[in-house]
Amino acid sequence: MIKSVDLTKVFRTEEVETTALNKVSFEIKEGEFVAIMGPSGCGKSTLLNILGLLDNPSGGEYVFLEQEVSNYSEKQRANLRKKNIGFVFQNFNLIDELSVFENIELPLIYLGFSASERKKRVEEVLEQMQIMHRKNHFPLQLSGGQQQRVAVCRAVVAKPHIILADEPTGNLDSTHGDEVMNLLETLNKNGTTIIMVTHSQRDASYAQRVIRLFDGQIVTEDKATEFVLSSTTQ
Amino acid sequence: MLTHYLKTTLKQFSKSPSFSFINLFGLATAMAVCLIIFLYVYRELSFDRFHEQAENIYRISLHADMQGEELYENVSSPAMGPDLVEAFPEILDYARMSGRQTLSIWQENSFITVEKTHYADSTFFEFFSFELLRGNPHTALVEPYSVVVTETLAQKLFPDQDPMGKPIRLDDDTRKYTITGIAADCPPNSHIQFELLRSFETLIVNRQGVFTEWDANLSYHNYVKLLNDTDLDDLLKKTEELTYEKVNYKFEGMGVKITFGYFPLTDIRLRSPFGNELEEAGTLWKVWVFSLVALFVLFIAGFNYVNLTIARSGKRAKEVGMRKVLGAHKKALKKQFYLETLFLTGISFLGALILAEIFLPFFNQLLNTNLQLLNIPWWGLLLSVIIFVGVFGLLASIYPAWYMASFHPVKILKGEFWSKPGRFQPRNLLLLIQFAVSLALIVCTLVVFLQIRFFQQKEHGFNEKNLLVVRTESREDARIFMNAMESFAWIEKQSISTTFPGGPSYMEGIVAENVEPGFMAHRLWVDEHFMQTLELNLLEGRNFERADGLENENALVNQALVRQAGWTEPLGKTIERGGRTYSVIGVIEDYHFQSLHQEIEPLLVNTIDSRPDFMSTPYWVQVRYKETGSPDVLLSVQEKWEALFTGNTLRHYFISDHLHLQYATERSFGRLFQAFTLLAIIIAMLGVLGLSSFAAQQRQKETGIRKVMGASTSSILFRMSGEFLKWVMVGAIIALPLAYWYMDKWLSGFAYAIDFPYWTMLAALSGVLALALVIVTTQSMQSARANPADVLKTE
Repeated sequence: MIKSVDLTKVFRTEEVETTALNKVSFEIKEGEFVAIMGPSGCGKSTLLNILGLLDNPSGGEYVFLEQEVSNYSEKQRANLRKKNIGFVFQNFNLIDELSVFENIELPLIYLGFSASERKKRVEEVLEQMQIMHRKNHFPLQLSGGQQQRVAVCRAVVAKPHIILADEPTGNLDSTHGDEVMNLLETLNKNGTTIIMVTHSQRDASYAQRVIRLFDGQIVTEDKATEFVLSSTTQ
Repeated sequence: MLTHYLKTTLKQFSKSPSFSFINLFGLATAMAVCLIIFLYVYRELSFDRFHEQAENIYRISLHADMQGEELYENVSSPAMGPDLVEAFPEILDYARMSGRQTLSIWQENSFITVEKTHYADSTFFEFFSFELLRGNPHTALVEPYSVVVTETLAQKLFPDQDPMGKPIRLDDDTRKYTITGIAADCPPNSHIQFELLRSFETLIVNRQGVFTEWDANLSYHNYVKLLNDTDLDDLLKKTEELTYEKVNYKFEGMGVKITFGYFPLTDIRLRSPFGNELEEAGTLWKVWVFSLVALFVLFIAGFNYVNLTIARSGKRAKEVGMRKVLGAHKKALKKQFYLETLFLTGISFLGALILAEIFLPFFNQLLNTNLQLLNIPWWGLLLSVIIFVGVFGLLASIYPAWYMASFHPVKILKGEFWSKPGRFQPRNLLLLIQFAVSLALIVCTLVVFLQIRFFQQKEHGFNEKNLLVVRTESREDARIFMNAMESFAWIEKQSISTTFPGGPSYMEGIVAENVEPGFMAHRLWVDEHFMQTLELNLLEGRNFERADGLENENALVNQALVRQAGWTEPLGKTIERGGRTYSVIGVIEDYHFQSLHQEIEPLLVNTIDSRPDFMSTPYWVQVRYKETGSPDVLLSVQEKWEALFTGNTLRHYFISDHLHLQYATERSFGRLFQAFTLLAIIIAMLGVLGLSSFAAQQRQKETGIRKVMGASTSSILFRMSGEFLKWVMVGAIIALPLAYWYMDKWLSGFAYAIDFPYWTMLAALSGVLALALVIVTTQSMQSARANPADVLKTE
């Protein structure tokens, strides 16, 4: 489903050149739950942005759904993104002026769904996530856990192939964090591919595989359970 | 999708009402100003175009070259119309109209004064397209003593009665006139404005003047209608030949030449160069100035809108970023912002209609017009909607839409979306222009104000207070009137003269003793009380002791005449004029017998009885009344006048009012500047508001870091204000020299003017600086006071 070969990202300013990703190669199959881990500044978010088609790499190949997309224009990337990828962010990134319903509805608007179809889909997902009673509330009226639940609803409403989650529990307490992780796990069990950037070993334990980055390079690529095991034995 | 956009727009509006209000107010004000200017320009351009074949109608103009002295007039002899039609087949028709006359219409024991009356040809209502509501347009003005009145006047004269066929009496004319037609009130966009028209035939049967000579009776407006596609150059050539046969052959060898021209009817309002038009004319410059103001205002308002929107875009970055993450194309986002702007401009337009209605009375007073919003034609309204809402909305939204749609989602999620500060950007240039215009206008307004105040306060050399002048038609009438007035205890002094200060003036060439060649001097004939009545100063010699034959060979002169003649001992010197020799018996201290626009020129004063009889100009009685204890002077004078000269309209001026009127142009100029200045300041300050709030947001991170490093709130405010004040200073460097150059030139057009007041520049600069400082400080305060921890966390 996703294949990266020697993926490189270099940020240039007038005087400094920073290599955020240095020839990163890996593959992710459909239905996998992969966690990307590493210390701050190791290039996790940069990798996630490229995988999420928010940014282009400076070099290497990126094959997404069997298309080489590393040189796609912004428009091409947006088209591919809206049909296939759902995003969950650490700080939820809900639009404060829109209600829960309207926030979730947003991806469907850009996909050109009719109003009745949008209503049906949004209500379906609200039921599924058990937050139907909050549909007319605004983000600032909700708790962090509820906001992230809405963000997950928004990520899945268009039934994407992949969900990219950037520290999805980073702003939540452990109870709400577990709730969100369970949601992602359920989604994965139902066939959605999940790629998650995290600092938390606990969250990473939900994943089937962990890609570990350091200074823009992959240092290990393990089964999540083995990783957890080895880290506990140390 | 559309519903979603509208919903988002409304939410944006309600989310920040103050921002929305500033934006709405700025746009609505600019649109209101433009709407009013559109109304004005439309009215000016439509002048006299309602006449059928207006483009084929011309008015005869006269140009006389008299030994190098040029004379341009819009009047000509009544003989011309008929002669031209007879001579040239391309001239199809003519209509003549006399100059304007004020008349009294008598009704039993009272009278109504009607100011706009003319004699008009019988063809008047066929020639022009003035609507005749009652009566026959072909015959209404055929018979002598027939009269057409306007609907309003008819209503005043005969309320609830049919005025047709009713007799009326005009002034002291013993003959009765008959109303033969009721015309609709003249459209306001007509240079011809009448309330009453008397048939031309009345003039002819009364033998009032000569109607056959081209060089006599030069006080009529001759309008002619030309055949389509007439070659005007050819017609002018033929007219010149005819003029030679009719007039110019008489002047051969005398250095005098008369030329007649054809001035287009539709150009009279906008381009008339003649000073004696009955209504305001030559307004093309105003049309230009106002059109430019409209464009400028619209441009600046659009620019301010863009600034304010960009300033706020930081608040919307997350929304834009998420929309992009969720798959929104740039195009979709742009569409959203266009729609938001269109919605805003639409609401602003509605606001503009309301504001225009509120502003209109002020503009009407300023421009002396009667503009009404309802007069806007349907296509004008449609055009306004298209321009203000559509085109303007679209143009104003292009940059913000492009700017916001270009936010990079990754950068937004990282909190980096501002453009780099510090670069010279177009918005700074535009801010500079706004400051420069405001500063220049403030200086101009202050200078105009000071010059008007100077006029009002300047001593005229005589006492203009409590001085009334009354026009009489003969010396005898003047004396009868003065005798009758003696009965009033509040009369202080009275005198007769042939003109009054600020009144019409008459110049002749004189030859002063020992001076070659002669020079021009103003002539004035007065009685022995003239100097005391006006409270003039006699510098040497004596005043006339009487106004009869014994003093007829004596003269008083002013200092300017003495200077011009170069006399050191003027008393006893002689002055020759028209075969008579006058001996100077006294010198009057210079006084302003003309307006302050002109320098004091030589003045020769003689006794009233020595005035040649062939001169038919009126005699003015000057009445000095007591300050205290005077009842309603005018009412008493009026009663006395009516008792003496029943049927004749009292024509009078209070000198102080009359002098005040002479500076009407300057006052109107001043009011115009005031209005534009106010507008420029409002617009510039809205611009400052937009940019300073933009800068405050843009520099939040910088401010936070500075505070962490120990900067105080005041030092941050100082730093932020400095950025703006810099532009005010650059604006001043550009604007102030220009304002100085222009106003100094304007002042040099007056014979008596103030020196350029340099402090006005300092005042304008301080004012603008202070205002900008207040706005920038209030906008920056929030950012400067914010807790750096909060700011940096957000970042």
